[in-house]
Amino acid sequence: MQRHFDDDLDKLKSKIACMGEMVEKAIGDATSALLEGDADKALTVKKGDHDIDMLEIDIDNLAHELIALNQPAAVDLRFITMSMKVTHDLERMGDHASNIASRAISLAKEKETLLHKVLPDLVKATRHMVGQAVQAFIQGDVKLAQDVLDADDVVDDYYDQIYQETRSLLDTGNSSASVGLHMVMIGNNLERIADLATNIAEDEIFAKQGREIRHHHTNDN
Amino acid sequence: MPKSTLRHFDQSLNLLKNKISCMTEMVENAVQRSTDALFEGNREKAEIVKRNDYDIDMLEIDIDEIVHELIVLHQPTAKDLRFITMSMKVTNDLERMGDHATNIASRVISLCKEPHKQNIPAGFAKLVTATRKIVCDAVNAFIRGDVTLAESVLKGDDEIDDLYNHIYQETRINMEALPFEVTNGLHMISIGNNLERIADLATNIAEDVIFAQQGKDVRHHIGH
Repeated sequence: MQRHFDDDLDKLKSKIACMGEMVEKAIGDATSALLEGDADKALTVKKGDHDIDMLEIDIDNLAHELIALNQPAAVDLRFITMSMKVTHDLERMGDHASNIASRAISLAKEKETLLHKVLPDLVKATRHMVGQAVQAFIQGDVKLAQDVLDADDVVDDYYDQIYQETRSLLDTGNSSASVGLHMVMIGNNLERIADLATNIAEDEIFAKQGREIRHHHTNDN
Repeated sequence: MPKSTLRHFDQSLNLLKNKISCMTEMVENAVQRSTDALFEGNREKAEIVKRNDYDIDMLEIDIDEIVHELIVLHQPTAKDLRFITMSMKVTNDLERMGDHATNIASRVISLCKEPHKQNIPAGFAKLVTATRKIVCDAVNAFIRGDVTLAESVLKGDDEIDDLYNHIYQETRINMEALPFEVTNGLHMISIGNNLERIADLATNIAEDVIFAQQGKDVRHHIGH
């Protein structure tokens, strides 16, 4: 019984890791489609979102099976129910990647391009946070989870730079509103992805240390 | 389950439902208040929304505790278990809606500081009303297991997308024509976007309701 439970728990973990990788890839592909002006690549991201959604359902079913068959208590139960929150957050990250892809498709049709210097940094930092948050959760690594929370400020700064830069370009008539708004919204989607990663990290810390840490910060955007 | 245990289970389940309803009401109030603050240019009201967000967050933690207790004490299976675990996803969505209301409140505070005031796009009031309704309907559909209501939520989301797109385009054109509208326009679009995301989270809940009620077979079909 115990071995079977452990096997299933491992399976749950590897599925979550897989979902995390798919989301990371979606973020990477959506943004490189944007940087390269590659509408086909962006379309592939949009199509791939369905697979991410399905994996959430898959993981939920596995989690239900684990609970119903093994009646886990305490730490194990918390991990399993948290898995369902984590996959929910990952699924939303996939939606944001899809939103970025949609905007990349619209932007590919525009005559002008506006690519902020910090955009690749924002993408890199966001992807890194997602990977770390999932690892922190799977490995129960509170220190790594704390790193994720710390990194969120960096992401917020990058986003703020994009926002302010775009605003002044628009103010001075150096960018069309159409393109400028797409870029702000893309930055916003990345910032939200990072925010979801901090959710996962906070849940992890909360699970280990109790009530006070969760929901410790709010963000303005 | 023995009768007394069953009664206790039902009581706990009712408590869970009540808390979810309560959380929903708090979220609806936050949405209403943050957008009232926008229409009235009322910075104080926006500050209240930001302060109250903590209570919404805490309720999520509360509900999660009830969920864990329900599972450990009663070892529910099948439909009950699915309802209980779905509650955690629903509260997760509600908590994020609260965050979006807070974001709106922050934007309103920024707007209050702007010397130049912009007219609020015409469709905004409609967007707010539709968003509140969709949140309320989605959670009610979940609590009652009402698939028809859940389906109406999905239809309502299309209307919200249209309203939001309209605001987006109108504001964009405005920004294009009048450079001094840029800062205000960005805030307006962001507020509209936050409302659109709130509605999107509500459709998430509705989709889960439809999925759960249609059972494993349908899930299997869609999944593989």
